[in-house]
Amino acid sequence: MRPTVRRLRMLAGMLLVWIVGSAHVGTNQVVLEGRAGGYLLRVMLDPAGVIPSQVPIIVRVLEGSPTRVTIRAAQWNIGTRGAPPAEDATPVPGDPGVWSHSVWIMTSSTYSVHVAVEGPAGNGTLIVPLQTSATATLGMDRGMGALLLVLGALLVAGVLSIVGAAAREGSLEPGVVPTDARRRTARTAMATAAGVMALALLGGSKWWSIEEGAYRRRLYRPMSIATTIRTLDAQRMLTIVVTDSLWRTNRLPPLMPDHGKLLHLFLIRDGEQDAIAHLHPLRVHPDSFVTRIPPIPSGRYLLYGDFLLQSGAQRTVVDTVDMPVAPVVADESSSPRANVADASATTFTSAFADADDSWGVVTAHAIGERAPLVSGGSLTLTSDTPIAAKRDLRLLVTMRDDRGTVVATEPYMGMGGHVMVLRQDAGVFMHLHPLGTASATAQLQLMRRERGDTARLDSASLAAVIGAAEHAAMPHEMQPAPVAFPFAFPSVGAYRVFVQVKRAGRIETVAFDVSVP
Amino acid sequence: MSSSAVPLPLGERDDERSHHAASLPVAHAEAERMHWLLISVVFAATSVIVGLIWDISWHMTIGRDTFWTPAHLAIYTGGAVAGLASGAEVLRRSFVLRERPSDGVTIWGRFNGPLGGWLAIWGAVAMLTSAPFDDWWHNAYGLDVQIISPPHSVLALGFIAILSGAVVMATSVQSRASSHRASRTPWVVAYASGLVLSMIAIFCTEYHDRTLMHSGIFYVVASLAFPFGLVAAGRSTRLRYPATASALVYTAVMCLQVWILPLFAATPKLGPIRQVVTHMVPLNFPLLLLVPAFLIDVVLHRTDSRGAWTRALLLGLTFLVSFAAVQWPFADFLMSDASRTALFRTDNFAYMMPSDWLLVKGEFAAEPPSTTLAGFALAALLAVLSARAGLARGDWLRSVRR
Repeated sequence: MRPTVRRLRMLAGMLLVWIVGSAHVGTNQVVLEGRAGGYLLRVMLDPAGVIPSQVPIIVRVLEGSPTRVTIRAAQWNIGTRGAPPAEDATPVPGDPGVWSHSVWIMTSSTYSVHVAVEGPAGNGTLIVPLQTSATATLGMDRGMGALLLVLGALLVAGVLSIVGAAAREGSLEPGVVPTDARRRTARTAMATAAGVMALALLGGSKWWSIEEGAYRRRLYRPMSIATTIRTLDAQRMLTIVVTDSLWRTNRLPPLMPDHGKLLHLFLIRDGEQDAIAHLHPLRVHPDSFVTRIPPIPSGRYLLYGDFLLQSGAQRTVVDTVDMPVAPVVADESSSPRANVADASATTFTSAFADADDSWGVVTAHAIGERAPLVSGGSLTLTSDTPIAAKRDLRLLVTMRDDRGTVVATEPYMGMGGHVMVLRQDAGVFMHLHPLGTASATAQLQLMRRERGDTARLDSASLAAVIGAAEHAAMPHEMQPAPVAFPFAFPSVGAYRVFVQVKRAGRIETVAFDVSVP
Repeated sequence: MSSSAVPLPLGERDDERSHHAASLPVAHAEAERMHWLLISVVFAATSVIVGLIWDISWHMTIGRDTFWTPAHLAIYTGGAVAGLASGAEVLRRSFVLRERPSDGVTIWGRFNGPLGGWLAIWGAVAMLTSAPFDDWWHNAYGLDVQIISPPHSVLALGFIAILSGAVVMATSVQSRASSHRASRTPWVVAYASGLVLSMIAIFCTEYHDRTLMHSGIFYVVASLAFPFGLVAAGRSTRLRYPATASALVYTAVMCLQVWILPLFAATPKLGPIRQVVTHMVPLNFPLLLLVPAFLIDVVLHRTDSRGAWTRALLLGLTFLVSFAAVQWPFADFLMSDASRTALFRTDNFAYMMPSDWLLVKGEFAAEPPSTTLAGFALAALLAVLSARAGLARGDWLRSVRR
């Protein structure tokens, strides 16, 4: 009986919030650029962090002039078969080419948001992965608090007065004046009612705090991990053990590689934010990931690790680690200490080192400034739009050779580059790709699932979309042009933007400071 | 099942005319006002119940939309009509009339109005309070579609106050019986009591799922809720079969929604959608309360001379035994394919209902017989207590004159 009752309660609440998910740290925002048929779109989703709630969507048409834009959100494991019909987005007045809409999201899960475009260049669909989770709660402002207090006091006074009046006069024939005895009875009744009201208010307040507590327990928390660094065989070895109970009890969908790696690990030195490592630990056990620490300086490091689940959900784990001094290797060449600590060394090899690992000690440059590269030439970071909080834009990374000519980057894990954005108070961390803030693998995964789910339906147009996306996701030759990273700074503040590009077989890491007004 | 009006001591027109000839025009005007106020509050109560049913169906069919759904408008129209009509009457009595009428109750030394009117005003204020509270709650916790939450409870208290206001106002008019319309008033009382019964049933919906109809919890909750409503109606309404009449109102309301709502095409606008929904999904087919209601009337007729607790014992047990005797086998029918028709609509499920849930599979929740028996033992106790509370409520309602 009890499980049934609980299930019914679940239906009543529709609070199927067992598995919460969120990518990145300190923000739920998604910015993604892609083609929908003949149109190039930049889509920004800005979930408030409350479930269920409406998620505002902004679609900026960068190429083409569509006549209709529709939005449809499908939960990853149910697909469009179980999605509500598409809803029309409306053009934003005074902002040509921009459409907006809000879509209802009912569960903490992963959704594929289908942005469908119609117009003279034909029809097309762009699928945007969206993870939803409750991450916030709202305080009560003074005005609202005062209003509720006044109304509540009125209600309590009303109950007491009505009970008193009912006991005093309710049963009297019209015209009969209440006796003193009746008045006393009325006072007793009011006192009793006051006691009952006090108990009711106390119970209500208790209930409220229970609901608040239940909500807080459902708030998104990063998966719990245990991180250790040990010196082994004259190497600093970092081990991450996932200790999360959802993970350990197989209640999360399995991991899947994101551009070839099961875990993208970022170590950024706390405080100065001048040393960064982007590593890809080896999974040595279902719960354990091990990597060798490259020659980065000692100190306290912020640790961020990005996992991708087969639902398309990105899970970022966070920790801080104290990095010991790199051990001296006695039997290596002439000046061992200097070599090991040489931050520019990129030929580090080991069983626990990945060819795409990269690290560097950096000096931050101002946005727009030319930052010199170790391999010669320079790198600049600019924005195609004045920077403001929550404004979708493109961060442009331009690489030049010694003569100042713009040159192409080499594919680094299949892309023109990687960008990590850290708010300097460490409250926000995001990992960007030329697609945007979402994982291209997650996007493909959602499309493939949809293709499987809709095999019996007419999915010819969807198959074409998937084909195009799969082609776009394949590494191909980079053009000698700036690499664009669609993004929106989620809040005001001082940010450090780490840019990683590959040139002449070497991964270059450069940092820029951006102040978001 | 026919009920007939019981002649009332002061209800005969000739007597009335001869005794109150001098004050007739004034008394008549006041009675007429009272009549319209009663109609307004009963209309408000109806609007609230219709809106409530519509809103639940809306959430099972379409999902969340805006504040401006027709269902919400029906609910708030009920609150506004009840509050404004009663509020206007209070203001008229307190500030317009030179002589304060003697048939109201006074609060805060100055404001005079009928007791039922005060309840209706309180209900309207509670509904008004719940609106910003609920809105904030959604934004803060997002638990939008939760049925039972603190702000929804404030709203529910508002409903209860408005429906109680309708019942109290109707019974006071019935008790005074000075109006020439008195002979019709008991029907108004029965109708308002039937709406109260419907509201109680809707509030218990969570425990009245047909998968639970062979489980102890179903009879525990039914025994807690219905003897109170049926006995209070039976005790306070001046009809031959008053509990039956109120159960008839409940049955009619719930049958009508089962038959009418699915006539309107609608599709879900929220996901995930797990059931094919093409029209408004109604609430469940009514429980067979008519049978225990009729027997409660019979027991009330025959135990007039007994003490309250003896009556409560008889009434409570009568309710539980007769209700279980009809509802238990009826549940088998509701679970069978034979009930998957336009008459019973047991094939209609909320859009978000997973297909592996018992309700969709058409299976009863399983529990050990000992649990069911323990449930029935508790239900018997609660039925007696509920009937006793119903007697007290009915007696109080009979005593109300203002």
